[in-house]
Amino acid sequence: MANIAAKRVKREIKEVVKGGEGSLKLEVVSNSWTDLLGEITGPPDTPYEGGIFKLEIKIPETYPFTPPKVRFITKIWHPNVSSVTGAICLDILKDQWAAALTLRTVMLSIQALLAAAEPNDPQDAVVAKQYIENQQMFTLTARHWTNIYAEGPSGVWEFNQKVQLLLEMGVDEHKARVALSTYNWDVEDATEQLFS
Amino acid sequence: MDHNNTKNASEGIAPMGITALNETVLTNQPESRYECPVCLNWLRDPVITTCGHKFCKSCITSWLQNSGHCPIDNINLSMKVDIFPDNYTKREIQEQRMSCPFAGKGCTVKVTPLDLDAHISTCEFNQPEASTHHDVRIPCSFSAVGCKETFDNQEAANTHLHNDILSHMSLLMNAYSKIKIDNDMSNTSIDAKEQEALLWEAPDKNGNEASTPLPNDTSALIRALYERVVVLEQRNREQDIVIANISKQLSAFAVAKMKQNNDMLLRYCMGNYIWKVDNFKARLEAMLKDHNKMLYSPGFYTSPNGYRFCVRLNISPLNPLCFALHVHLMKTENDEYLDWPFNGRISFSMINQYDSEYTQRDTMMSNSSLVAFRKPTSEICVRGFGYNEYAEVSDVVRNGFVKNDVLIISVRIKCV
Repeated sequence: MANIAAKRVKREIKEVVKGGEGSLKLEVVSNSWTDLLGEITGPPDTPYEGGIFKLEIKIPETYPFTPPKVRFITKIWHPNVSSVTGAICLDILKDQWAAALTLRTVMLSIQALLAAAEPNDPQDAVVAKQYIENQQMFTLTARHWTNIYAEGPSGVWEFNQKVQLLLEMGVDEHKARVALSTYNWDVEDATEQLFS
Repeated sequence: MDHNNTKNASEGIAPMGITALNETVLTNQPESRYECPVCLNWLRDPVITTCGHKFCKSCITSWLQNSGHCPIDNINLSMKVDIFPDNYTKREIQEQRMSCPFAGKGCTVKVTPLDLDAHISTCEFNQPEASTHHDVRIPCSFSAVGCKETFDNQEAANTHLHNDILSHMSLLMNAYSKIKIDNDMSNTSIDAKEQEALLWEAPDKNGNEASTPLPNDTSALIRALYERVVVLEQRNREQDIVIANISKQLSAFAVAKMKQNNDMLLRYCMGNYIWKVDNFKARLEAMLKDHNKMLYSPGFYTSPNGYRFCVRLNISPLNPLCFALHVHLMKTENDEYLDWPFNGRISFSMINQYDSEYTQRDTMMSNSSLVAFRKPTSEICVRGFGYNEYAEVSDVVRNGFVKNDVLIISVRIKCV
């Protein structure tokens, strides 16, 4: 790993630790400073509130002249995050990256993205469609996912029941949840999609 | 965020060396006005942009290779027209002096912030101090004898010590026997010369036993054995020499004895000499090739103090198809006391080795008028007496006189 990248990552970890934002965590998972584990909490007054979201952060050799590669490890229901891969659609992780940005600012930006989705520049078209067409359904679904995958405090009882229903039909739990979420928790539509 | 938890988590994952490096590197944290926003380090060869941001020259150069914007405010920047050296900041940074982070260990070096990293990597006080780091696990106190257990805290270590007495005992036993064996081995093998000197102590003048106290019984035993070995080796060497001498004498004696035996046979044959011409074929060929070649028998005596004769066999100078056979008188130490000329009967028998019936026998009487029977004047009398044409060569070769490449001629000389 390039010397400048390693040195910078060391400083950046310290910056996060010293920054004192309780909402951010950053840890090294490899000896070479190339693999980091980030953690952000869901912002208040959002469906993600109270959730803890893990981020996989890979530092490229050319860092900080190229952006770090960041994706969600924790499954999340968000228009700008793939519900399948966790890939994040965020300009500063792509063409708007600037060398003066840091892992702390990146994580803060991702946190801000949770608070202010950009449905017009979606990563997950299904989620974005729901976000635009049925904001209330989106909020409940996102809260449900936060509760299930990110230790979020408030579950949605009705959704849990529906997942349970499909589970009893022999469907994989996550697949059931994705199908139900996709079809606005219409069990019939979800079942049809799952068994077609 | 719980600050302590984060710290523990971070350091728990990072390996020891990296964390240690991390701390020293991070102590060299620049003030924000001297910090490059790209490398987050002290500005090295600082430059300032038209939009008013400072960077290391190399950092902004690298950045602008792939981007046309300021890394901070995204304003368009051109390397050629928007970047200027910031010598004011450069001077400010160079005037800073920082203490080595190992000052606490005694390093008194103070350098500019730019040189600090270089100094840290070569600082003689930059030794990993394992014990201060909480990642280091406490090894079992029996680690020296092979216990591989380590513990988070002293309490766990004590519990282990308490519970594993038996395994520690066996480890100790193994270690002890190994040490003992090594010790004993070193006394015998490692440096033989030195050990020899050590072990071989001549008894002192008062006849007391060796003075140095020995570490244990085994050593004493080995030393006693070693001394015995030395004595035996010495004796062995002496006896080897004796044996070598004796065998040399013996073989000389055997040679002498053989010679004597031959001499005895010749002297005491009482004129009955059996001449065995071995290797006959080769000798014959040599004689056929060169007619001047002759075969002489050793000299034999008619009695122990009597006349001495030898037999001559050669290809007849008169007839190359025949053998000539003669006897010649030879000088003896007793010639003075003998009667001359010799008078006696001389018989030749060429033995047919397959059928004695065909053995060729001839007897002659001496002729006192001949030179051949006078007292010899040379070692062998130049004149012989016998047959110029004794036997045909082909007859001798073919008709059973030669067996196993040996021709046997019996000569009987009797004084009258």
